[in-house]
Formats: sequence, structure tokens, C-alpha cells
Amino acid sequence: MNGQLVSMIIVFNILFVFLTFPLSGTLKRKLLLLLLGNIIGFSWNYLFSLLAYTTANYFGQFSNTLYIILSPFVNLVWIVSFWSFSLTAIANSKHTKAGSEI
Amino acid sequence: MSAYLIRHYIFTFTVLKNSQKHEKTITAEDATCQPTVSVLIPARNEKQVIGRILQRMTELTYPKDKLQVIVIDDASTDNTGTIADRYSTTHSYIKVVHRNEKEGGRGKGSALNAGLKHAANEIVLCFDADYYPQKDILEKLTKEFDNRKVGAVQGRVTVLNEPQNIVTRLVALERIGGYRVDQKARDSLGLITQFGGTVGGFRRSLLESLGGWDESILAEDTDLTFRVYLAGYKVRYVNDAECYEEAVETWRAYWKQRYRWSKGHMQCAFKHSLGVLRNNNIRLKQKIDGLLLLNVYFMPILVLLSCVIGVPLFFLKSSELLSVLWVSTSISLYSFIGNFAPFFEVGIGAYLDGRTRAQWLIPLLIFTFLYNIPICTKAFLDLLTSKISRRNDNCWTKTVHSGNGNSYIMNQDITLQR
Repeated sequence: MNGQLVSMIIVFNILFVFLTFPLSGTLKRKLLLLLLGNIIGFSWNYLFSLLAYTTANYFGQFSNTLYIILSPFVNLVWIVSFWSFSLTAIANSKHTKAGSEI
Repeated sequence: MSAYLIRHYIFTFTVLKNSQKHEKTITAEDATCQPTVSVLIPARNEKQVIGRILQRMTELTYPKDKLQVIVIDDASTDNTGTIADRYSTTHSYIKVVHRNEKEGGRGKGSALNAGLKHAANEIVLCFDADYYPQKDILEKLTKEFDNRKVGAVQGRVTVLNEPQNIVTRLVALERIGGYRVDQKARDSLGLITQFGGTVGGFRRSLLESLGGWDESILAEDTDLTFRVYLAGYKVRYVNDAECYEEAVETWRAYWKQRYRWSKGHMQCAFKHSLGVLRNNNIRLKQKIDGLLLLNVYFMPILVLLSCVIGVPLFFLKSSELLSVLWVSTSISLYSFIGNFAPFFEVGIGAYLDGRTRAQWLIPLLIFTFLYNIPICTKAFLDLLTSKISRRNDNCWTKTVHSGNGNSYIMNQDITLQR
């Protein structure tokens, strides 16, 4: 599970940097969002793995299997949701910057 | 599936990179070469919307002496034909072709072929009856035909009734991804740009030489796209040629529409895959993209197979072969969901359009992706059954339009929020 967490965080960082940093917006905001995303990613996976450990005690191997199968969906929820939120935040910073330049 | 992952990301990055270049928007004043145009509008029981598009046809800025509008009243049982006739009596360039019950009701391709017989002009464009184009859309579309290698053009489709409910909002997001990113990237990269069946058209001479629309295929637009490329021509996508459609409003209607698209696309895959590989008019990168485009509706079925095969394999683990199979199926499943690429494609499209509020709905697209799994699976099984039994059951289930889009048309022209 640690390997999975690390790989998911790496995937998030790569995608976020390549898909968000080229967009118009302040660098400071992008870096803050990147940091926030990592914190959320770690917290999300930590909480989910706690849930997995707990259920494994009661349901055994089945819950472990379920965790592995559902893992992509679970990570999709936080990565895509956070990235959508980031897009909005960056777009707003672009509009704010444009407004202040007028 | 990895190929689709790479393709999605290539498209997204291409559009992001090109978004910094400012493209000149063609307006009516810029048009230098204006060929004669025939607009085909197939309509079957479209009384709620036919008046709207015909009124729009009268408002187009294209010179009326170069314009011919042909409404194909395809055996309608409501007063679609009557409404269309009213416009044709007051506008000489509008013509209505009435088809009776014996001739009509055999699908859009059949209706368009009937209209094509009456088309007299150089360029033939098609609009569905529920569409609402920009006033200067014809100038923007026909400009591309200055290039002799261009056989067809495709404009952009935007959802008119987006605020209606969650279904229309999610369909609008899909459209953003499909046109703003997917089509735009394919056009920029010189790949296979798809004619989407509406908001676009062909050189009439090319269309007639290809024999018009294939009435045996449910996705007649995809079929024509590939026939254009196989004939040595290309399709151009014009992003600023915008037209507004009335999207499906219920999940049931969504199912029927996507079922038709899936089955039609699969028919095209069986018909054209080999031809695409063998054809010398198509470059290698177009062949690769063409094959990916033709087989895209098989992907949800592969995801389902991954789940069906992968779960029991995990529990078996009794041999090396099974372990390998388990790894490969789990990777297949993961690459569909875990690559996130389609979501990012939609997100970038929404960002470039300035649709900040719509971005919040992007995570909900997972439900439409999952909904497409049974749709595509059923379409494939039905197609397989009809091929084995040699039964032609191409039942064209048309999308019913409520006319709710009318309430979103304001007095002034609609422009996309940028």
C-alpha cells in the first residue's frame, strides 16, 4: 500500500505540473495548489488505507482485494476533483490579474 | 488502452500549446470566395424545433442568391412539413421535400440522400433540425474549401439547453472535450478529423462521386469521414464556426443516442479498418489515429472484460500464466480509469472556453463513462447477433426534441463565454 501511495502521489504531481503550470495564472498560486494537492493526496490515501486495514480485520482477504480493485476509482475521485478545483482557482487568478492590469 | 491514454494526452497538450497562438476569426466581411451552398435539414417529427432553424436560415448573412435550403420532411406525422412549407412560400431559396411513409422513416442517411438529389450548388452542408447556428457560420465553413484538398468541413457543436438538468450539463462537458480539444487537436496534427453529421458538409461533386450517404450504416457521418480520406481528401475542423444543439435531457434518451452511435461506429470499424490500413492516400499517423477512432467504442467493452476476467483471476493465482493475465487485465482496467486522461481533456477544454463553473462537474463524468459500458456492450452484442443471423435490424431511433432549447435563445446572438 505504501508503494501504491507513493506511485499515486508521483502520478498526481506529474499530471498537475504538466497540465496546470502551462496555463495562465500566478506561479505562487500554482505552487500553493500543488502543495495543497499533495497534502490532500497523502491524507486521502492515509484515511482510505486505515479503512482498508480496519475492514481487513473483519472481512479478511476479500476487503484487501476490494481495496486493490477500487483503488483507481478512489484515487480518481480526489485527483480529478482537486484538479477541477485547481483549474477554477487558476482561471480566477487569471481574471483577477487581468482586471488589476486594466 | 495505453494507446488511447497517450492519444488523449497528446491532444490535450497540443491544444494547450496552440491556444497561445491567436487564430484569426473569419467573419462575414472577411469572406472573399463564397461558393454556392445547399443546406440540407433532415426533419422527422420536429415541430418543436423546425421553425427555429428555418427562421435562423432567413437570418444568415450569406448572400441569399448563393444559398439553397432544402428541408427533407421525412414522413413526419406531426405538422413539421406544414411549418416548413410556410417558410418556403415566403422565401424562394427554401425548398421542402416531402417523403411519404413508404419512402421515409428509414434513417437520416436515407433522408439526406433524398435531399441531395435536389441540391444544385457547389457545397452541401447539413444541419440537424434542432440546431441553431451563428448567423455567419456559412462564411466560416465554406472558407476552408479554398484548399482543393479539403473535401469536407466540420464546425463546433455547443449545447443550447445546458442548464436544463444534470444530463444536459454532462453532455455539454462531453461536447467541450470532443470538439474544443479532440477535434481541434486532430485537425492541428493533421490526423483524421471527423465529420460529425451536422454543422458541416462536403463538396457536392465529391459527395456524389462517393455515392452519398450509406443508408445501411447507423453512423453515416463516420462512414463518410473515412470515405473522404480514403478518396485522398481531408476534413477540416473550424472551431469558431459554432452551432447550438438541443442535447438529450434524460438518461433514457442518452442511452438510445449513444447506442446508435456505438453500433454505427462499430459498423464503420468492420467496414473500414482494413481499407484504412491498405490505403496509400492516408499517411501512417492518420492510419494509427483512424484505427483508434474507429475502435473507440470497443474500449468500454474491454474495461468490462477486464473486470469480469480480472476479479476471479486475482483469487486463482495458481500459475504463472494466470498471474500474467491478472496483471495485464488489472493494468487494462486501471489505464481506463486511472489514466484520468479523458477528464483532463474535458477540463482543459472547459478552461480554454472560460467555463470555470462547469469544471466543478468534471468528476461526475465518471458516471457517464461507466454508463457507456453497458451501452457499448449491448450495441456490440446486437451487432454480432445481426451479423451471425445475417439480419439487417438497423432500427434508426431518432432523438426526440422537446423544444426546451427555445427558452435559452435570447434576443441577441448567443456567444460563448470566453
